[in-house]
This record gives sequence, structure tokens and C-alpha cells, in this order.
Amino acid sequence: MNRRNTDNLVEDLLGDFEYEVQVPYLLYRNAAQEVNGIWFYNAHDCEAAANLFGRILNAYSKVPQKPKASTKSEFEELEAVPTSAVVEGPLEPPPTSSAAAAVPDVSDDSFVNFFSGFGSRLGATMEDLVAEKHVKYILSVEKKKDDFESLVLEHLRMNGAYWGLTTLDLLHKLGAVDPDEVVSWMMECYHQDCGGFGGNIGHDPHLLYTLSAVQVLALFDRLDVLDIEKVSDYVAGLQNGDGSFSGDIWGETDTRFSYCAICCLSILHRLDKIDVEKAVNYIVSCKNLDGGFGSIPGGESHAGQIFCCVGALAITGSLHHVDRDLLGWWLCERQCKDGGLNGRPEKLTDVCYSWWVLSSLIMIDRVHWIDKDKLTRFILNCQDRENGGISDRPDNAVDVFHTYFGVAGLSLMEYPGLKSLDPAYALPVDVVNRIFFGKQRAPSLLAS
Amino acid sequence: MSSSDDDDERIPFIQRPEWSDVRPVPQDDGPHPIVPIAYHDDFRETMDYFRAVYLADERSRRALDLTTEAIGMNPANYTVWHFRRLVLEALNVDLHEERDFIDEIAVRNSKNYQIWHHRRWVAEKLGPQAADKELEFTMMILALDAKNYHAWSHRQWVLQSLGGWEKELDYCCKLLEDDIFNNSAWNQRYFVITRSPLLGGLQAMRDSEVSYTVEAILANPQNESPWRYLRGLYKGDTDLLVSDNQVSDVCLKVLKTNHNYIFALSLLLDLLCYGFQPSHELKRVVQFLGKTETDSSDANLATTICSILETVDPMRSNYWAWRKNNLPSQVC
Repeated sequence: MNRRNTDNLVEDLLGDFEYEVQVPYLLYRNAAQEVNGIWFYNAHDCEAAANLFGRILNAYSKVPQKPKASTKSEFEELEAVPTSAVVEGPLEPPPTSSAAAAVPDVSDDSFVNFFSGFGSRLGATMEDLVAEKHVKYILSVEKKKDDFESLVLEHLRMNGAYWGLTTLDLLHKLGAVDPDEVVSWMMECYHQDCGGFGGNIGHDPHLLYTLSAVQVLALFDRLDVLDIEKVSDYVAGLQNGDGSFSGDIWGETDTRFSYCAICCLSILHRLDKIDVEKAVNYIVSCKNLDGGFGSIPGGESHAGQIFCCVGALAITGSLHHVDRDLLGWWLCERQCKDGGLNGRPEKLTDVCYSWWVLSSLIMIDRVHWIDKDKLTRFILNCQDRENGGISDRPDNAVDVFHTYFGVAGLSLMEYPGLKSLDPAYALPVDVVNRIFFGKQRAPSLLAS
Repeated sequence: MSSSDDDDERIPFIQRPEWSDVRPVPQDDGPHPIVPIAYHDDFRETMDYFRAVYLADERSRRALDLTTEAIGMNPANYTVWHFRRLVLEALNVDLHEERDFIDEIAVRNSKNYQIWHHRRWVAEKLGPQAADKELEFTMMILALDAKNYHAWSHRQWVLQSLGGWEKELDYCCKLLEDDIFNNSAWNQRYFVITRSPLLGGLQAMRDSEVSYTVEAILANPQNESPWRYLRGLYKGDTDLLVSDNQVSDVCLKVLKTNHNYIFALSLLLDLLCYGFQPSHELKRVVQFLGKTETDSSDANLATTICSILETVDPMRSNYWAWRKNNLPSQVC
């Protein structure tokens, strides 16, 4: 079935056997009432295999079996029953015993989510994404006490926590971390006097880290620990007269901060504290003739800035300011011969653009304009398959930043086994649903 | 105020008599660090002493020197920079000295947000007289990395806040001579053309800029930037774009070379969608390409172009297929 396992999978087609094609999956239920699926890299192969099943069953059975082609099927009705056979336990013993939290959160109204709960049974499903290694890598960052390189990241540990924890959640392994310890560390980074969060304990408050803190709290469903009025006042207070936002009291202005403020306030349901119209107008003033956005008016279009601007416009319901066709074309021109994406014309490809470019394309509904297969290959080639983690390009050193963006990019392309990620909030969809709609299923947040 | 790079010469704080009154404060990672950072001993000690003066809010000369050392070890630590600014203000330090300090460390850390922000803070305080030095500084950084986004943002801020537009267009020309593919330089060129108070504005500059751009395109038709720049010169005025022969001519010239013609085809496609009436020669050249590159033949020129692009630019075949399905009804 795949190169990791030399055993052949044997199923009795002529017993109690039913199958269904949902490209790229070939799903079946065998006589033991197990529901399994085979993932095919090539859609054509998937259909060919299904046809073969059909021909065999027709040839041997007295009553011809017709393959079910409808999207709704009995597979959806089956209740998700995670058992220890299908669920991989935490790779590192968690600081406190929380085995129940290691079970993936499988929602039973989404077929793909249901399907992904059977990751370890499927062999080929996560073949190329070495998910276990990435989880190990992220958890092991904790243990690397003598890493000289890490010292330069001390001040942005809040960002690091967001990247690492969101990646774990995408891989269904957030349960490997104790929320209480995270929250208690985070609150030590909180400045009670002004309402902002610093990058680490003993660091000044800044919008970047305030957003990461709010996002991490959202992951753990612990937004209740916040003094929401205080935090949102801090963020709103950073808006300038022209609608732009500064990162902190020292006044650095950049459209990145417009995104941080708008995303943060939206999660806290306090967008009404800022002048949204002015904020939007400022962002629009940073729009260039190629359809892209820069950090300031007149600034060169750059995929990172584009994500920030498009994300902010999406969250404020202002996407009508974007010329989707023009920007979509600029964005799909970021794809280079190696399949990866760059951030500006004539620059090198980098895994992090898998996020910035891809999420932008999804928000403007143009993601089908890139070659997803080639990008997937590029990201997978940036993995360190031995030690886990993902780097900016193949064979370079890995870091948590690129690990997050690589996994996030794969999630946006619906790589099997990953949680879905919201392109505007950069949080798993179930987390965003919980923020806005409680635990019910949500309509599309991006309808505009 | 010089930062000590050489570890051999560095005297640990614990051995320095002028620091004997200070109790260093260790990093508090919390009981079980989530993403804890490992420390090098020298760095650890320097930061312990920094934390002491930061918590005590000591805005002294020795505190300033301490931030210099801390920045030397980790220039990305934004809290150190914040505190440094507080100390600079309290001591009323001559900011020309501070600017020299940034000159020294910026080269090795040219993509560091904190350094650029600090530079701007200093330049703002020094006022318009600082313009020349700031342009010189960014020029120095761009000589090492001509696409450094921070340098360009800073340069744009300097021009708009402090002035100095006189030689900017020449500077763009020079950078483009060095590397015609430098998208940042093309962006800056557009910035100058449209915003410089010394030039006549886009309309006045258009003709000369079109000539310049056409030359750049013909030299390297696979260069994305000048094609976009060319469109930008007509600033959304599609009628003008369609009626200017220079635009369709450059497409034709590139197509006739039968080489690197993807951007030429895509611009021609847009022209057709805006109502452009192609010459016989243009039709002939495109149809010939169509026969060579695709299996299908189509009387409709725009459809042919889309088919060719689907074949020669397969990475974006979905985009070109979408264009084909969304052609305006009147298009040739």
C-alpha cells in the first residue's frame, strides 16, 4: 500500500463489502464493519481502482453491486468512535495526565473530519507528511536548553507559542500540552496597567504579541481569563488619526498592525472600539496598481503585507475593495518552477509564502489558479523527515515558524489528516466557529 | 559605547566594579516553559543585568552602555530598544552619535525591524536636515541587498517626510541598470513618477516612461516587472492603454521573436478584452503560435491566446482556462 509498510492489505471483496468513491479517497466497509479508506495521490488511479472493484464484484456476484457515487452516504451517519487502535497516543508524556485530550476532536457532521480520525489505519493517507515527527519536533523545542540560536527568539516566545500550538492543533495533538501551564505563563506576559501582552515575561507590551496571546487563548477556549475591555482598549488605543495602527507606543506603523488589531478585536467581539471605516480606508490607500498591498502607501506589493491587508478587509466585510481577478493573477504568478511560492517577483521561493499567498487566494476565492499538487510537493520536500520540522526551502535548517506555515499551507490545500484552518483568522475552523457561533456549525464567514 | 564583539575581551558584569551595586535578575520562564529558550552564559548574564536596570527604571549612562551590549548580542530584542530610547531621552544624548551607532550595527542586521524603527525615530527627531544622511544610509544598505523591504520603506518615508527627491529618478535608473529584474526599483520608480513634487506627475511623464519601459521589456521579455509597470503608466485608463500603439507594438515585437512571450500574450489578451482591434500582422503571428503550440484552432484571437497560454504556462492553466471562459462577448 505504501513504502512504509511491506505488508499487503488483504480484503475480501466477495464477503460483506461495500465501497464508495470520493476522489481522492476510495472508501470501503468490510465484513468486520471497519470503515477504511485508501488515499490516492492521482485521482485517475483512484477511479481506476474503484472500477476494478466494480468489475470484480459484478463478475462474481449474482446481484450486481453498483458503486455509490452520491456525496451523502451512510458513511456520514456512522458515529466516530475513536479507539486506541486508531488513535496515536501522545508521543511525549504530557506534563500532566490528560490522555483523554489526546483523542482527536472528530466532529460528526463533517465527513472529511470524520475520515481523518482514522489516520493511522490508512497507510497511504499521511505517507508524505511526517506528522509524528513534526509533533515530536515541536514538543522537543522545550527540551533544547543549550541551543544558542534560540536565545535570539526569547522576546518573541509568544509568537513561537502560537506557531507551535496551532500546528499541534492542526495535527490533532493539542492535547499533548497542558492548557493551565500555557495560560499561567501567558498571564505573566500580560501588562495589567495597559492591557497589552509582551513577547515574554518581562517584555514590553506590543500588538504582535497581544494578537498571538488572544489566538492561543482562543485555541484553548480560555478567552474568559481576559479582561476583554482592557485588552481591547489597549488595541483600539493604537489606532492613528489616518486609520492606520502602530505596533506600540513608539509609533511604528505598518499594515501588519492593521491586521493584528482587526483580527484581535474581532476575536474579542470589540471591533466597534475602533474607527473601522478609517482603518479600511487606510488599508485601501496601501493598494497598488498590480492589485497588491504594501506596508505603507506606495510600498511595494509583498505577499505578507497582502495577507495582512486582505485578511483585515475580509474580517471587516470589506473585500469589495479588492480587485480579485487582478490580485488573484498577481498571487498565482508567485508560483515558480520548483512549485513553491515567492513573495514578490524575482525573489526566491519560501515555504512561509505557502501561507501568505495561499490564504490570500482563498479569501478572494482564487486558490484554484495555482498548481496545488506542485506546491504540496514543494512543502513536503521542505520537511526534515528524520528529526521533524519544516524549513524555508529544501535541505535548510528547520524552525517552528516555517513548520507552522508549511502545515498551514497543506491544511489550506485540504491535505488529508489535518484540521481545517480559517484563512483570515489563522486559527482552526472549529476554534473560529466556537468564537462566533458557540459549538454549532457555522455558515461561511467569508461570504461577502 | 562600542559593543564588544570579542568574547575574549568581555569582562563579565559580576567582575565589573561599576556594577557591583546591582543585583542581576534572572529570566522567569514560568514553572514549565512552553517554548523555552536556551541561553548562552554571556548572554544570560548581560540580560540578567539588563532586567535589573529595566525593573529599576535606571536611566543612566551605564544603563545606556548596557543596552548597547545587549543589542550587540541580540538586536531583535524590542524591549531593550524601548528602554534605550527612554534612556536616550532622559540623558538628552546627541542623536547624531546615535545615528552613527545604528550605521555600525545595521549592516549586519539589515532585516531587523527594531533597528529600522529606531533609525526612523532618530531621524524624525533630527528633522529635515537628516534627509541626506538617511538617503545615503538606505543607499548603502541597498548596495548590499537591492530588494531590502525595510530599506525601501524607510527611503519612501524619508522622501515624503524629510524631502530629497532631486536625484531619486536617477537612482532608480542606476539600480535598474544594475539589475533590470529588481521589482523594488520598479516600484520606487512608480513612486517617484507619481509622487515627486519636482516632476510633472504621471501624465507629464508618461511618454518618456513608456519608451523606457518598452526598451526594458524588449531586452528581457520574461521580466514580470516592466510589464506591470507599463500597465501602471495608464493608471486604470483602459481606453488610453488600448489606443497607444506603443503598447500593442511591444507585444507584437516580442511575439515575433517566438521566445519568452507569455507576458506579451497576457497583455494582448487584456487589450483585446478592453476592445482593442488587432492588426492583420498581429493576428497572423498569434495564429501561427496557436498552430505550433496547440492542437485546437480557433478564429477567435482571444480564445487562441488562452489556449496557447494554457499550454505554455501549465502551472497557471486553471487561470488561463478561467480567462477563456470569461471573455467579453464582443472580443475578437
